[in-house]
Amino acid sequence: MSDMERQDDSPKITKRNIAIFLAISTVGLTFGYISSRMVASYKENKISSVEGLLWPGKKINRFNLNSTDGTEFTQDNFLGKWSFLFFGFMTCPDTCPTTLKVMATAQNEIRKSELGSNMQVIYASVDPERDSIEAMKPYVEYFDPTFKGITGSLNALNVLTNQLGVLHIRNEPNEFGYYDVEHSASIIVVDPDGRRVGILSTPHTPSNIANRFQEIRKHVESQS
Amino acid sequence: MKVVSLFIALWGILSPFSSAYTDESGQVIITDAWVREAPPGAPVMGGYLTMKNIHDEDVVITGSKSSMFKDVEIHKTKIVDGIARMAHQTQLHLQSGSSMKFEPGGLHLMMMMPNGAINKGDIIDITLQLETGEEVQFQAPVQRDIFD
Repeated sequence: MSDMERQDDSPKITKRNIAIFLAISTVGLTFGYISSRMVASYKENKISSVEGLLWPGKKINRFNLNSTDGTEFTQDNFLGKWSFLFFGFMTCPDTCPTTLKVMATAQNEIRKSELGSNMQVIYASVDPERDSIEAMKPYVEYFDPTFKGITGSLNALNVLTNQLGVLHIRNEPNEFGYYDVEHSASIIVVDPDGRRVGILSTPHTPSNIANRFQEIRKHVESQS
Repeated sequence: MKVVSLFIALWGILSPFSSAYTDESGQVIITDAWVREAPPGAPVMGGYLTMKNIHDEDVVITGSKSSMFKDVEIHKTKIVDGIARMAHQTQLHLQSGSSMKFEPGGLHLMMMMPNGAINKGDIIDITLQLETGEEVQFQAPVQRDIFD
């Protein structure tokens, strides 16, 4: 009997099928329970440790990209400032402009507090084929005149993204030549010593970015 | 249903801030439609809206179009394990009596290749296509953000 013929048989209630059904149900229910608990604990804000903190920090090693300032952007550009670094591309109608907009408001909130001086927001395009550094300048500055854009060849980008565990995958183009670039949606926090010390995962709001950042920063400064 | 459609049409005309649109048989109502202004150099725009099915049967939305763009697709932003990706929606089921919101970070209209410059304050004509062959036409203002 070929595989095709076997597949045509209607399903039968056998011990094996019941076992498979129970196994799948158990996995599903467990997953559902765990995720509902995670959502509940997030909502109740009962997480005792510092949310998003990656400690000890990981020093970011040598990389070399171009900046919308017209200069190079390397690991040294992180020194002396708190940096918010995130990834996207210009042909992105929803997630990227939403995050940039939220980050602009978050920056205004953070700057109001005494802890908020000396920060920079850096947006890296993971679609260098379509996004030139020249085109990126007015794009990022539209959201906030202080925002900086960086990009480079895919190889140069990977030197940075591999260190940060940031993924970016280019999809197949549609009939009009448009393609999506799947990418990490989290915001990376780099401390003034050039160490990756935090990751702010979605969902992003201006206040949850500001709050998580302040907690991460307090922790890092208390350890130094 | 005709009376409802008429009422909705009148409301759409008379209400200066919130416009409502519906199809010929008055099954689907579109409100709160807006299109995000493209940042400089971005060749795509995101469209948002709320739709409600007031019919007693489910409705399937199969596509979208606009005379002002080469292509408009219904997309959903999905973030799985921290990775953002777009999923093209070709069969959007809107159950009888239910509403569905297109909003930043979720469902949106992916509006590609505008035929000309589109600026804040412009009005975009958009059509949603239903499985039945019917269409819902509506207009959406171009705004910098949801409240503009």
